[in-house]
Amino acid sequence: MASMDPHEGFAVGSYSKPLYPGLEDDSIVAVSSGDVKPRILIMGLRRSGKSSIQKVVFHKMSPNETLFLESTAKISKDDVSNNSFINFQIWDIPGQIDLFEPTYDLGMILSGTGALIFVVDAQDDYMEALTCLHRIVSKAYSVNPHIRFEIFIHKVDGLSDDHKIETQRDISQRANEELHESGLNDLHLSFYLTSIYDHSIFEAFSKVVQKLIPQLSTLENLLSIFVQNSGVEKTFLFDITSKIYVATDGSPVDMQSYELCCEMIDVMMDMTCIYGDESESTSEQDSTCIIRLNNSSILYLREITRFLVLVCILRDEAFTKRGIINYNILCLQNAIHSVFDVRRTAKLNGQLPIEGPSSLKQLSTSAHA
Amino acid sequence: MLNPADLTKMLNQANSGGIHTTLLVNSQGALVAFSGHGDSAVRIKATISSNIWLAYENSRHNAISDDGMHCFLASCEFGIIGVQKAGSSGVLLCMFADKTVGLGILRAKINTMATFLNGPLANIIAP
Repeated sequence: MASMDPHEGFAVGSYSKPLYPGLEDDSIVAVSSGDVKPRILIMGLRRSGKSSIQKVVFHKMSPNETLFLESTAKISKDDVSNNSFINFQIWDIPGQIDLFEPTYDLGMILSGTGALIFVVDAQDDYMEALTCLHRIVSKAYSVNPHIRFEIFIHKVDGLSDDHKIETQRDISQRANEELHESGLNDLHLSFYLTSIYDHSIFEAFSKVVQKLIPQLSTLENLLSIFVQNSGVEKTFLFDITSKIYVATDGSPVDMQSYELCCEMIDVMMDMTCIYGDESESTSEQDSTCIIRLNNSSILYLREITRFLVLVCILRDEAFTKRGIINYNILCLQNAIHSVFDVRRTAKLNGQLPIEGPSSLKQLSTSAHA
Repeated sequence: MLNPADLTKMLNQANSGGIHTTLLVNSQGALVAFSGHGDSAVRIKATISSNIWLAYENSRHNAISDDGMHCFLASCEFGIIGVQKAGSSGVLLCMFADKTVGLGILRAKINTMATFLNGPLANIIAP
């Protein structure tokens, strides 16, 4: 990358590879055929920070304001699908409610659930939380074994780095041991260290949401091809309203670059709120934002759909080829539209087309040096 | 100084007899000036033309003589393209025409236009 010939790294994208690895997956049928939106349940003990997470991620509440949130008394359902790409329902289940009472229709609740997030307060004694976790997870697994279990070790902002790792190791060991003892070896728990005072909660939520998107592998594939052909270092596909990243290319995610991109979206949204034309904001599909940093890298943001933006991080030198990058983004945009069109047509016809849309094949035009 | 309005008018003079788009593009693939009708994909055309030019320019030592590329004409599925260097700063003049237009007339037009533009475009300093 460092010794890149100025012309060699650029090629007009060719998307002739097989692009639909996700289509063999049964889950896409499950997602597209049902009218009910997949649910994400947030559970945990009282005052562990469930409502705060939900408010900060999906309602743009400032982390400091969450101190004044009252305890949630009943299950609150939050539909985030109307102004966001993420087509899910978030259910916030208060700690004092026991879902396993016969008054709740557990089968109904859990059958449409894609992921169960269990929040553990890391600053508190977590033994009680672990007992509760075990009970919920084993019960939920017996009702619906397809649920993904995500454990947020929350409020880690007060802990030192060593302490964080130690806590995570301890919690994961104890939780897995308990599951092992009760014979649930197939059940997999994922652990995340989170805090609402930095971007870790957004990152953790991103990963949870990504697992529920059936087209993820296709999107990642597309972004990787884009990165290779455009001389871009890193690229993210963001959901604008929640700042969750829906997909990224194959290279590892650096927390700092993710934070930079989040801040950039904030800047752009603020500018749009102040100076944007309100009447046009729903139809506009061509927003662009460029920020040059003094370490000679550039943040480049392009709108892909009404809900999704593409944020690229690239070197100054690579940006001299802006025309090519724009063209490649256009190809990427068409490809992403096609990916989601497959799902839409599948919904209409009640089945999935076997072949990808032919428009992708037209993209194989090459002007490679 | 270049007057953008005059530049566009100038480019528009070539748009006759089957030639429908005339544009100036810099070596980075960015559109400098444009005249044509009913075309939305002009930025993409500019980028691709510039990229093809650069591709030949980079490999000309192997294939063509060393005194540089003068002009290239390409006959595509839905029309023909002519690209020629204008001025000393690496700005390219591109013309897009219907399939019915002869390559000779396209070449003559692009040559005339490029010769004319050499003067005013000499003011632009290469980046």
